[in-house]
Amino acid sequence: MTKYEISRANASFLNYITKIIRYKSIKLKIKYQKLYNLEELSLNVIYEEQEKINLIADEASNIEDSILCKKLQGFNEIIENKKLIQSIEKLTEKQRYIIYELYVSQTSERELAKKLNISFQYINKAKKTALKKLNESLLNTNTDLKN
Amino acid sequence: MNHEKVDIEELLKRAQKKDKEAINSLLSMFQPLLKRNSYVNGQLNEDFFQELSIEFLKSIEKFKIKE
Repeated sequence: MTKYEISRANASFLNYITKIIRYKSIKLKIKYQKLYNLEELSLNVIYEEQEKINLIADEASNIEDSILCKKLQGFNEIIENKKLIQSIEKLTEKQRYIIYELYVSQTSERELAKKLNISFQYINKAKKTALKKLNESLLNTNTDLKN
Repeated sequence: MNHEKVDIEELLKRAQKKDKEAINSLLSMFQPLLKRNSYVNGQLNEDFFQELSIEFLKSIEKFKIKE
């Protein structure tokens, strides 16, 4: 199997681009939050001297289900690599949730530990085992295809 | 994304000369990074993705390759 061989120029470019994108995203988020705070959060609008009330449809009948579905859809949206999706499906629900929260929602390990009421070390451990599992299953599918 | 040797340096050089193919392949290569950073409250924000893609294209031009 040929691994990624990253030359020095490539590595410096990767460093540079990830930093720029991250800072830009933080800037955008601050801007978005400011705009969001300015907007009035109200459903009744005065239109032609009459007050009208907008209604929001309640789609989610089972909140738990909708959250679980969202989590998997989230992975499908960001990841184009089918092998990676397959190997993510092999993870247990807890591992998948932790990976999603850490890498997609970008909550820190400490915050997540507080949210789930478990120790920070446990999360670190779970993350490591999940990543190991992903790595192994990815390598396996690659070798399967070659043989 | 295959585990093959990817020469970013060469792609960059071509992209800086405004080679459309190279720019496209760089964009698709870095799409996961862009998408990951355009999530707001756990949902993909298309506007963010657009803005970040523009920033990405700008920074490709700015990057100086050291020999």
